[in-house]
Amino acid sequence: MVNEAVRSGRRWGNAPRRAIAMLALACLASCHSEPARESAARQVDSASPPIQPVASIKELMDSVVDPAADGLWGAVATISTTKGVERREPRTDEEWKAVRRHAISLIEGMNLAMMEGRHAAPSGSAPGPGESRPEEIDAAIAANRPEFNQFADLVRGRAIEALHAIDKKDPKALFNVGSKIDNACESCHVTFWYPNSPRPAT
Amino acid sequence: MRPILRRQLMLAGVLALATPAAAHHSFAMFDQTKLVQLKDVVVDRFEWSNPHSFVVAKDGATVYTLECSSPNLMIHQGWKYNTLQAGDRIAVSFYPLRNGKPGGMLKMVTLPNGKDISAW
Repeated sequence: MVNEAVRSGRRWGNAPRRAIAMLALACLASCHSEPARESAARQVDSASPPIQPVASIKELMDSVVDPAADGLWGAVATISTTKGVERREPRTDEEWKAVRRHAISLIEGMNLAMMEGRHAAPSGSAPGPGESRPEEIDAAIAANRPEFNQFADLVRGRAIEALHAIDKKDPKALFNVGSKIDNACESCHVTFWYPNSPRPAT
Repeated sequence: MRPILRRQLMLAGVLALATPAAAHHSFAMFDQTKLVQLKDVVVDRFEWSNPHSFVVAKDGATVYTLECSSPNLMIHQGWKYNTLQAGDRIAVSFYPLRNGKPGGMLKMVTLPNGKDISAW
């Protein structure tokens, strides 16, 4: 009986399996164009995500970039006072982790700085000593966007160097790249922010 | 005190920065048409740090905070982390702050051994 059932199953069981397989193929064929459309739609979405710059570059610097850079710069130093010499550097895993967060913020802060449509400073805000007016900085960046992006890319690259130094827990390398970060920042500032400010006479 | 806070207090108290990045500023705050010279001051603090090093020097009761370049550039002038130590007697020349506060951009130091060294 069992054998019969098995035999019967084998004989008649193939039909439902074929039907299921054909149904699956048909479904696959009929559904094939749908995922393709969805994929294309996703590509369109990813090509133009709904990004909208809200803060100015100056505010971005104040809120993200400068605290991050200060965090890297302040991590390693040698300070001589009347109380003795302090060699400041991250020593524990937690301290290194804290510095690493600053490197990440600086790296991604530069990506934010490069976003098109972000104004240099809030409209009508007063420039700092020696700085150009906000609309002058906007015009300078618009006139030479590739150079502006190049500077931001340079800072981002230096920040990535800092990240590598942090991951190696190498305070000397982190200190050395700190000056490079400063030079990269300053190159952009003297070009776009205060091009007419007299440089230090050496 | 946290390092960053200490640094910010130092910068805020002396330089009153208002720039794209607080640690960065134009050079307009320094009067580069005037050069102040102090022949005998005592180093109270030497900070070998980024983005700028600082020398804090006492002349009697007056405390001057003097900003230098970044360490990587200063190395080319012969500076090291221990070029100055608290208590050293030195001579300095600097471009003063326009706001009249005791401080400025350090131009030249005469070290205790008589050697002149540029800070920029």
